[in-house]
Amino acid sequence: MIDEITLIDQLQQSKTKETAFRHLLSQYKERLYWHIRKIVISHDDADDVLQNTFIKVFKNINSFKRDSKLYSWMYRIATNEAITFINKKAKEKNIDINDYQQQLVSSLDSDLLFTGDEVQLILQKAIATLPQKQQLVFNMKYFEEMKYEEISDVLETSVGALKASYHIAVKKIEKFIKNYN
Amino acid sequence: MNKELKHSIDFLNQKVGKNTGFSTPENYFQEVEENLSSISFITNFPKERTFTTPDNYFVSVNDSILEKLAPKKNKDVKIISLKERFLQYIPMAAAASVLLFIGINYFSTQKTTFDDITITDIESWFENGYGETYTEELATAINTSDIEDDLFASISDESLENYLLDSTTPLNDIE
Repeated sequence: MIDEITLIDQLQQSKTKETAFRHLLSQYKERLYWHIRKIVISHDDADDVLQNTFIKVFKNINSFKRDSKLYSWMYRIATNEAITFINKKAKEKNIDINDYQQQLVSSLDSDLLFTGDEVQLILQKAIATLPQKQQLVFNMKYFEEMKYEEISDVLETSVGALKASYHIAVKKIEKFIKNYN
Repeated sequence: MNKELKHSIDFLNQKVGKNTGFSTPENYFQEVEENLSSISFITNFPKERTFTTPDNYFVSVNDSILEKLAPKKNKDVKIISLKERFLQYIPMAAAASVLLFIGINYFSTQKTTFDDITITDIESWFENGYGETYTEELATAINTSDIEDDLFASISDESLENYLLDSTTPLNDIE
């Protein structure tokens, strides 16, 4: 396991860049994939976004200023790429991004790459009704079990605002599930 | 209990009572209870992954990404020889020549009239020996109707007389 400073040094030098990048890929691709997948829902879309994310990381690594953790920086790129992706898809269909996400989730029960039961499906539907930021905070806090400080680094939002956002998201989900017929 | 300690505690009770001085925001404990019950509700939900991936996805995605980042090989540049390039232009040149020829011929088919010939052209023609004509030819060429009766009427007597008296005229040479 290479320490972060060494890894960044290697990524920013042309002689060692490729080897260091392969290491980066093997270390972080799964974690970034699952983060992206929760946003875009479909595996094929998550695959596209994941690849675009790593290509962006590779091309822009020299402009990484080391003012945050490398992983936070990558996570931020992945988040932005995923949001941009679904925004574009929603625009193509001429619908609101929330409506688009709810459309995606409604087709999950026929998705071979979704193995959740009925309750888990309802949970996904509940999450899709939340505003974008609340979805991100909920997924990162609840499923990915990130600390508020880490989420703050990624979303560039204060810890206090994140806590409020999370609590509101939890209440809304609870209400949705209890009212679901 | 130590008498001294008891005395101190009594003193404090008397002064401040059991109030710590701390307070909470309005409805704080109600909200805490609600929040905690929501979180416990959610916490009971299963966290296991419900999304899955195709087999070996995380192996193949590595290759896909690295392939996209690999420098593109230069495609073989097609070399066209100078001769081939020259030969390519021959049909175009031939077509252009034909069009030019047709164009020149088209624009030069205007009929030349007598008005297009200047006096100097005629004089140089005669000087170069091309003006020889025979009487018979003149006779057939000139139609009497071409000679206007009014032609001589426009010449004044004075002009005629001057002409006849002029020593340079050929008539004076007749003896």
